[in-house]
Amino acid sequence: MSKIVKIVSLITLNPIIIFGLYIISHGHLTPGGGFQGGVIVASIAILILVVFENDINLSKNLFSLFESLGLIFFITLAFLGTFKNTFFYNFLANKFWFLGKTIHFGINQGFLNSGGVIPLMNLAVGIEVASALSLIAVLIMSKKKYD
Amino acid sequence: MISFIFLVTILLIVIGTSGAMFKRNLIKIVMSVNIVGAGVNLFLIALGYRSGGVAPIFTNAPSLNMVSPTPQALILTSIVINLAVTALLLSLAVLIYKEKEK
Amino acid sequence: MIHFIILIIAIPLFSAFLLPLIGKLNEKLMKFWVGLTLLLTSFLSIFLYKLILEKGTLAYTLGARFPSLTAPQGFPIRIILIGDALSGFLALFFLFIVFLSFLFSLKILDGYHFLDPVRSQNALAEAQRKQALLEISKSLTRKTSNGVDKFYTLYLLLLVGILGFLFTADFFTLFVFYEINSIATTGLIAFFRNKECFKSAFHYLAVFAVGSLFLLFGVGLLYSEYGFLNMAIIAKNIQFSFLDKVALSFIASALILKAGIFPFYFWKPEAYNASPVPAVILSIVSSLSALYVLFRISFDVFGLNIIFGQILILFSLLSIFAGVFLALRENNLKRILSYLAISELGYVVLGVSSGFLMSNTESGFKAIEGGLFHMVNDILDVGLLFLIAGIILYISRVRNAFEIRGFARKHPILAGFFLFGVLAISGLPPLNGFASKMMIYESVFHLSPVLTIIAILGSILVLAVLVKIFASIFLGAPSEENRDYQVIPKVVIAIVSIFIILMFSIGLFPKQFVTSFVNPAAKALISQQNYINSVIH
Repeated sequence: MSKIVKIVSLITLNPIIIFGLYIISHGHLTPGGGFQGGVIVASIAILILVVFENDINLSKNLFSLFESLGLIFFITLAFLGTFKNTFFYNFLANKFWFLGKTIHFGINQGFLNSGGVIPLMNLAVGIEVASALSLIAVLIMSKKKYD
Repeated sequence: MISFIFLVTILLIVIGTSGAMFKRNLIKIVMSVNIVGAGVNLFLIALGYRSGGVAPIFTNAPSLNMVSPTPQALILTSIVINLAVTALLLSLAVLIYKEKEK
Repeated sequence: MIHFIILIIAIPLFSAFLLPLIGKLNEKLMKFWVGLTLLLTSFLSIFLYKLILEKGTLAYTLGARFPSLTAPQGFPIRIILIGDALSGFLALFFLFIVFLSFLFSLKILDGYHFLDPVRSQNALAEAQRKQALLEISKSLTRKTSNGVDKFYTLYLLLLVGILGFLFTADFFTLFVFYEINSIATTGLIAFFRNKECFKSAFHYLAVFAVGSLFLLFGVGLLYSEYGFLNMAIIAKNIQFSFLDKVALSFIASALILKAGIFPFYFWKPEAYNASPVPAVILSIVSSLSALYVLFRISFDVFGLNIIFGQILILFSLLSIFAGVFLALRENNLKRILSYLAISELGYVVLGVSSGFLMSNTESGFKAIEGGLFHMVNDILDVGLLFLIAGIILYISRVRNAFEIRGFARKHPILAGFFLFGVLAISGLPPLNGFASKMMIYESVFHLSPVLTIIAILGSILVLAVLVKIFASIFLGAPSEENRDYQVIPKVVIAIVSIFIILMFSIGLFPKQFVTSFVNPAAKALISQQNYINSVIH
């Protein structure tokens, strides 16, 4: 690809990441959430692989590490409520100062500080989906012999 | 009189299933599986429609008359799973091709 | 509040997520970690089964203490897991079998029969073949992330899927676990990386993707009528209208596809041929768990319906025959054994569905007990035959197992074990196949004598097929070019003898086994009101 395409793709990388993180973090208020934002962040890896024509080395071990970390974070959040109540219990909602503001039923303008465990689970799923799809893209499009 | 959208759903499912059964090209089989997925997702969304309803989100909603949100949760899971299945099928197709040309 | 049900599912899931990280550090640590997880899960299932036998059916809600919390009219809207005597018993037994096949997989992963089939007597070709074998053995035990840690991750994920099938009480979690099963099994089928395995994995996943979408379609139809996805609420409110029948046919065909009986058995031979033997045993266990869900839906959710029972009986008879007749044409040892697995599943469905038709009579209850008892015997017998097939292929490294002659001269113990397996599958006393098949024959006779005659004929033909295999592989004089390439590890002989000991003990004392395990399970299956009452008080 020509030099213009390479430079412009590197410039538009930043808004794409911020947009993906916006969709992940506002998942409990607007449409979106972990999976949708994760796919947007994963499209960056595909963009780089297409523009630089597989001449760039994206490390597979880093993606694999982040995928495992995302999954472990998700299941740890699910386990944390178990011994007081039940599994998957939302132990932050309506109680804690961090994410537990009580919202009443009805139309409101959306408070980011609510939702309990749900935004954290969105974050975990977002990290996991982004790294897993980037890993799949790197493995399919790599020009070396399949390892 | 059956609503038109359910006929489109059945048509998509029949086309997709017959494509997955009778085609030999691997990429066409993958596309047929995707068409069946699109048909089933369309069926589930169409189940939840209430006439005059808006999107079931409380943030800055125009009114309280909303479409049913439960099928939307079902479809979200189904879309994620279909994406994973498509990715796995395509990577298997790439591997078959690479083994063939050795 | 006792958390055993969710811990049984969550602990293998958690360790499957941790496994890639541990596998990068050290390989022995990873195998120890998997064994520890399986042992812990087995102990939890023993405690759970004891608790279920004391307290009756248990219902566990995810996210709240009671199922009806925060619902306006008091109906359960949360995800619920239900364990009763049948699912507790099956979980206990399946975990035991999975642990044994994990121990088997530590030593033997039999991929060597996918090599170049030419066995020439030329010394140069022999040296080249040894070189190729050395490279393949190096690639199978490499410490990087392409080797055995992917196998164990997929193994644990398939175990999570099987246990989820056994404990689900909700149509939507059924769909999710169905998909987990399909994806994990394709990874296991494509484990030996050659073109035949990749093609089998592709066809398997394409078939099961369409099957799971049909399941979702049926679930959507049920949701559109009743507004709930919980099995107990639908069981309470069901009127058997036309839309319900359509939904039942979609859901039942997806489950019959997963179980692998007539008419959807075509994926089984190539899938069982291409995957390693521990994964085959796990696939048989997952087919049995799909049959469990089919029985649960037909007894407890949809109620008793004559036409559905008759269709299931027809399918079971046809699968008994399809299994045997199609096995006569095949040339590959693993394919023949997979057709026999289809035939044995036909016996399970025959027993339970004739109990379905003859409900509220004593012979009907005995037929259900015979079918459920045959589930246990089926996994023991077919599992034993597959294990020995894996050992044979591992030792002699041939492509086609029928080239071996005179295996019994060098390994008489293995030949004796295989003979016991042959006798057990065809239902000869004093082994375990006789006890369960006798219960099925006696109770099906009261429905119609033709069914019993056809079932006995099926057993005799199974014996014929297996005698042909036994005679051509084991008997005769050994030829010079069939040398052993490997030694059998002692652990493997111990595992196979545990199977034999179990088969003999169940065969010699069937009454104790049936009254202590199968009887509460069958009672828990047929009482629909008990199932509903465990969720809605």
